[in-house]
Amino acid sequence: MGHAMTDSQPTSRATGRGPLRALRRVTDPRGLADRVARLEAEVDELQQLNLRLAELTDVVQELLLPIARQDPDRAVELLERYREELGT
Amino acid sequence: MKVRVDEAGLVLDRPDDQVLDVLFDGRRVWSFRGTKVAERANGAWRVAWPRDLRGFLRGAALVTVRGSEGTVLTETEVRFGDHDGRVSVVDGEGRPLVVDPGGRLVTTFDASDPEHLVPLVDAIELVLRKLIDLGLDAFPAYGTLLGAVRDGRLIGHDNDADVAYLSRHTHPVDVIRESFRVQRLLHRDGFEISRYSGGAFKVTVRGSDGTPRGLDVFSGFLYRGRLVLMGEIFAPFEESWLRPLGTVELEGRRLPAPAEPERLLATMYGPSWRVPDPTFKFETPHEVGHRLDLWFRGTRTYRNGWDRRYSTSRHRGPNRTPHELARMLHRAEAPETTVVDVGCGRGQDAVWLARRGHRVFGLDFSGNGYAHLRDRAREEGWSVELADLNLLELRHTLAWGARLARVDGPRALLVRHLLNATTPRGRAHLWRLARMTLGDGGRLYAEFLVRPPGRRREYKDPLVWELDPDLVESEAVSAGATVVSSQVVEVEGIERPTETEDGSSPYSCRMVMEWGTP
Repeated sequence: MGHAMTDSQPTSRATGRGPLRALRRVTDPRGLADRVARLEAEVDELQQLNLRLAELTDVVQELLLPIARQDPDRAVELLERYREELGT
Repeated sequence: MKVRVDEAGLVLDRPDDQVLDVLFDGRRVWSFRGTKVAERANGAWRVAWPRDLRGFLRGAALVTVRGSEGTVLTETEVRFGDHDGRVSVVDGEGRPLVVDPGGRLVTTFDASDPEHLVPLVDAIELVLRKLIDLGLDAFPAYGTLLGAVRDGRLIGHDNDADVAYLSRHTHPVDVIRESFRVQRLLHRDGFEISRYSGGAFKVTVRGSDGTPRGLDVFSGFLYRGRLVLMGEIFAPFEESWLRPLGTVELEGRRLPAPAEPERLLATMYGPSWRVPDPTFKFETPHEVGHRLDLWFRGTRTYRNGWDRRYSTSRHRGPNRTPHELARMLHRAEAPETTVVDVGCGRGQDAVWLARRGHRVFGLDFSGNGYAHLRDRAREEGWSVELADLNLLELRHTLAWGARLARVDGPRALLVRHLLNATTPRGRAHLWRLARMTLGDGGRLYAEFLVRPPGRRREYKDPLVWELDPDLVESEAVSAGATVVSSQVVEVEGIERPTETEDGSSPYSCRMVMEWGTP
């Protein structure tokens, strides 16, 4: 869904403007602080993939077998059971 | 230290770090440390009564304040308001309540008859045995381990139980998948389960007096020389401190335990873990919380707020007048249209539509909201299924999307004040659900708060907020929809999802979008 749909946003450090930026130009000419902030934001985004990947793998693993065996009734049955066992 | 008590709270002459117990008519209702909660006001150190307790302060009580050595610092008869009778801090079923360190009223173990706790201890033993049978090194954790190691008992001022297991996996993805599997297997054994995150879930156990008690099941794993243990620990740790497992005694049962439980307790509670502290609250370092959030969490955001709001809803029915958005849908859609009310809240729109001939699914992540109408619907045979859907979990979204995609005939989605009450992840999953359900044609009716032109609104309810209609439209279009109408209206009466701080009317956008036949 693109950037707008992710939970994390770049930190204000990465987008700082005004006097802070001017000071940084003098004390941090290679822009390391900004680069670290950007990297932190990107690492955060990658770390969030763990849960999504686990969720996807779980769905696929639980439901792929009957599909591979071309058993649609069993697939529907397993899908129902999968949903019922999700808890709240 | 000198302590005075009055209707507004306590006054301390010089707060120190000792734990003070507050008793009403001889029963402990609250503990605190003066240094943590006292505030300077008009030359005195004042401690106000906790917010959740204030609602109970009607009538008279003999208020005793006890210091850490058990010394009585004051004992005063206090009258709250002009009510007769004694102050009674009990729940709807008459069970005594205590303020916990988080400020919430709970039923602590020491306020329960020991007989009533037997089902919880049975469940701890059974769940640990199930986990061990699955090849996991499982043991009591947090307060439950603390009580077991200190004196072989549940801690009196605790109110739930904790177990944990050490996974053989070392990557968060595998640890989460294992937790999903463990949840499924416990579900098949008949346990009622609610998930906190990718690495923790709660099993609800009913005490023999009916009190629901949480038994939390936490995943743990070793990661680059550290122990990661949901929900608080990310610390240097040796595997040999945990396994091979030893044993510990709890309420007369012999249970598996970490090889060196003292090491784990020191990591959890610090070096003074042996000294009981009813005011203890985890203060997880920011970096640890942040990492665990990124790895495991985000599937329960705002859930506790909604659960609290609906905590007593089961006992009373909602206002049954439908909202305008439900009427709009009913006017425009054929009677045979199946309607999915996503974020159905109390369920009144879902039931109203069902009673007008639609087949309806009312879905929400806070089950207490619709519990009353679900019971009624079962009695009356209405064509409505009210059920759990946590849009923040991709698994819920995909499983429901697949189910709804199989429903015969036309379908429509009703999404009232949900987009503006969930996270970006929740919105992304809503669009995915819509695409799965309506991908072969159908309309989605959405309503959300918007800012009136040029004016700011402050809302009383922190669980809903404004959204930009352009953002909603662009997300819908990215998900394959076309917006067919969009209208901003001033809303009154039951159409208001919240009051505004200045009493003015909120504005809603009602947007209808359509998925075409592919």
